[in-house]
Amino acid sequence: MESNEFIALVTNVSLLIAMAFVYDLATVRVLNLDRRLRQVLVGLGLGVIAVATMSAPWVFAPGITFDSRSVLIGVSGLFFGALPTFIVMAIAAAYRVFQGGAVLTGVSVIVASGVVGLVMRRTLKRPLADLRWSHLLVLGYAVHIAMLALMFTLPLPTALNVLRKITLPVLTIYPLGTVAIGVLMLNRLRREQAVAAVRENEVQFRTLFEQAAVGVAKLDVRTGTFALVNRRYADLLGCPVQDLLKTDIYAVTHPDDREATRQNMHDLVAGTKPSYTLVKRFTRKDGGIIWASVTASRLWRTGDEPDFAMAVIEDITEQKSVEEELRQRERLLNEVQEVSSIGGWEYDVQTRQLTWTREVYRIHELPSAYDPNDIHIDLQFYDTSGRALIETAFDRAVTAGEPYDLTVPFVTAKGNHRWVRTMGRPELRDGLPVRVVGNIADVTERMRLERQVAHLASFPAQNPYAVVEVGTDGVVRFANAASAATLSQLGLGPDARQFLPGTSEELALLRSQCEENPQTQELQLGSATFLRVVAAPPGDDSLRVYAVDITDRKKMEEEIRSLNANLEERVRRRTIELTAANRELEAFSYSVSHDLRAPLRSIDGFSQAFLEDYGTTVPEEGRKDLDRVRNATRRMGVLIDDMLTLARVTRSEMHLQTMDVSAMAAKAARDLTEESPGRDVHVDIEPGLTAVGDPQLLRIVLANLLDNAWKFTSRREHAHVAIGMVNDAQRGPAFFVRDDGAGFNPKYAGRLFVAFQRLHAHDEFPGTGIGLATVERAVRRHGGDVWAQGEVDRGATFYFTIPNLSALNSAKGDHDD
Amino acid sequence: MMTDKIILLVEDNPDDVDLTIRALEKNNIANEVVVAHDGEEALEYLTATGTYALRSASDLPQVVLLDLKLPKVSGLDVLRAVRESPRTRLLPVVILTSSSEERDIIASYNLGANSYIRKPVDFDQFLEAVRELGLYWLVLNQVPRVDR
Repeated sequence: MESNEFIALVTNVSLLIAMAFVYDLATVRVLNLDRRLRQVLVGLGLGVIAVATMSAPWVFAPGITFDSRSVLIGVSGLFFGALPTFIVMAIAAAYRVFQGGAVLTGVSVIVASGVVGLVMRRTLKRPLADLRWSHLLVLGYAVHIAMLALMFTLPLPTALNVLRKITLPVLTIYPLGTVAIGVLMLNRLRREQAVAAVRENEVQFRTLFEQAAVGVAKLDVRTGTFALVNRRYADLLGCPVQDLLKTDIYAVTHPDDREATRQNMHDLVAGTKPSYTLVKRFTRKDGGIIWASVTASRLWRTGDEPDFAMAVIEDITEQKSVEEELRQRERLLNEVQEVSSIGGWEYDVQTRQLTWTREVYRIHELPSAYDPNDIHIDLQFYDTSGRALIETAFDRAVTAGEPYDLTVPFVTAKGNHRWVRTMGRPELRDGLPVRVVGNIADVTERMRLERQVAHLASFPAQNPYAVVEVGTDGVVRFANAASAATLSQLGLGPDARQFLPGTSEELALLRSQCEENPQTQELQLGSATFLRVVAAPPGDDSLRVYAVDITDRKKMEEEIRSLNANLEERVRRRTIELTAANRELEAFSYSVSHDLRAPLRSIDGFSQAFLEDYGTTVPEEGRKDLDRVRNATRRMGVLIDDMLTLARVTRSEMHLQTMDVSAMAAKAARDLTEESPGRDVHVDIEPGLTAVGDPQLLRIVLANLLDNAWKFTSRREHAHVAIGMVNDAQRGPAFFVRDDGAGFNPKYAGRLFVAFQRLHAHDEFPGTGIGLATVERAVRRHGGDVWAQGEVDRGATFYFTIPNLSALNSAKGDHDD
Repeated sequence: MMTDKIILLVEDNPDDVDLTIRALEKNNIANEVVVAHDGEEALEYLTATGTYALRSASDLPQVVLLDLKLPKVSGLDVLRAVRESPRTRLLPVVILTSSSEERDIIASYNLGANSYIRKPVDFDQFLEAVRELGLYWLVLNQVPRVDR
């Protein structure tokens, strides 16, 4: 039994090896055989192995033997398919019948094993190579459970006896054996498939390598020598493959590109990059040059010693020349645009991309880094009206395909004002704009010239004044309509030379004078006077004459001059009259001064003499009468004096100087105090008061005002008089003289300063009524103002202002009336 | 008082002559008063010509009271003549006039008047003025001796 089991094990090993061999037959197409024939051969091979295993059985009992044919046939069904399995089944069954014994059971086990394997192969949803060991275990159990079941084909007692003895070993050993063999088969299958795949890849690579449209070479990176080149590579370099294999990459590289190639190769060896791409030139064997794009990749793995690289080269000579041509054309375009100041642009309606040529940037004075695609920013270069025009036109071009041509003012990025002409022409496809192509041209200079020409052309002809151009040869070159009209209005002949007579020598001289400055003269033509301006137009041998009719102006000037002369004469006459009147007035007051007083003196003097001489004989009544005569006489004297003072204040010449008003007031007060010793008048004078004016007049002012103050406080036992300065809201700094005397009714304040007006009865307060009038005159002559405030019995205040007269000096005569 | 000294009163108005003389008398000025009724007469007196040809030219008055408004030769012309003559150059001349015109006063002093008195209308004041005049010019004033 033990030797039997050992023999069975050896059998299984040999079975395994045999299976592997058969499998090789099945998978490797060593022999170029028909597929069906090969399957037959496999089936026959397997049949031989099956016979071999059955020859070394484990004999359970005579006629009842067990061997591993179930494993073999089951695995065959799974791995080799129907035809080989049927063949092996047939061979095994025949051999079983030949062995004899329990033939039925033996054959049925053979058939069941094969069927289970085939069913499993058929029902599997995945390729054999993807089977797992669990599938193989299922197969092992399925085959051997079927085998145990088929034991009942034996007589029942035998079957039960057999089952009792073999169930455990069959269900433990055989399924595991199935799995073990199956795994080996699987591994074998997988390895073979991998080999087949590699082989296929290699074939594909070869094909690719040889028939590639690009040149491929395998290079030794250490030396640059070619290890392998394909036909295309050789063709590109115009050199047979064998020759190439004897040389290196540097030999076929254009000398100018060798360094770049070496550098890239070095980088590859150094490991800084796994591949490189380079556009370079190769030198063909015939000396021609080709442009190629080279991509080279290293073939070693990281960490390995660098050895080979695969280089792919693509001929781009054609592309290069097209590029070169394009570049050439673009340069030409740019140059043309620059010369013509015309820039081009293109707008793609679909992508909304706007492209500018270089000249467009130049016209905008923008750096070429600027992105023109923001149309709104671009439009800031146009003023409001121009922008609206362009926006509308551009919209219509894009939407409706309408071309445009606009000339508009323009401001560059640097703020320079220009004129541009911009055109847009839409390109239509199927009736819809797809692209707008346009140009933009700087037309500033042209616009300027056009305007200048228009200006020059229109100006002399439309000039309302005569414009005539005369050559230095004396020929009239141009005479505008106004010049002809002027001559005919004056009744003169039509010869425009009348505006610029003279010989050609004189004209040439005039021309040379005019070149520095236009010459302006008056010109008499008929009854009219002209202001003639002669200018020299640049770069021409002619003289341009502008004649402006100034006849009316001359007439007006004459009139004004005569009016002025008359005025002077009238002023002179009036002055004489005034001077005479003044002199008369002076004579009058002089004689008043002398002659009017003399009789008064006589009346008074002789009244006194009479009283002295004959007083004793005159009754008391008569003496009183004479006293009245004397009083009246004295009053008359005072009246005359006051009137003379008033006249003098009005007439006298003013001598302005800075005056110490405080001191003058003090002097006047002192005089009054001395004159009226019985009076108790407290005088308060603000110190430091000054004014610029005539001291004589101011003295009169102060004397009169203080005299008034004295007079109207005469009823006061203790009178108070103050002199000072206040700042009046309307009239500015004002001097004042204040008393606490009788005052006056404010109702009559306006009459205070009128001559001979008195507000008080004479015997109440004596006076002539001239003092304040005199004060007013004196103040007015200083350009000042005088006014008074007061109330009956509550005192009076007199104010006067003395503006600084130095500024009014020139106007001092104004008040001499 | 000094009776030997003559006062020459040049005055055309007889009222004023009388009043002046009266005022002098009232003030106890007893000097002889010679009255010239116009400027010409005054000059004749001073130069001992014309009506006064018999007079000694060297006999000059103590003071001349001169009105300005005079017939024939005005007071200012008389004054000018007096000051121009070396003989009368230092003769005290007091202007006694009705005028208080500034220009008259200035002109008088410019021509060398020794004093300027305005005849007041009030006779009392006139008396006072004449008193002061007499006191000063006839009593206090020292007249330089002039070589004749």
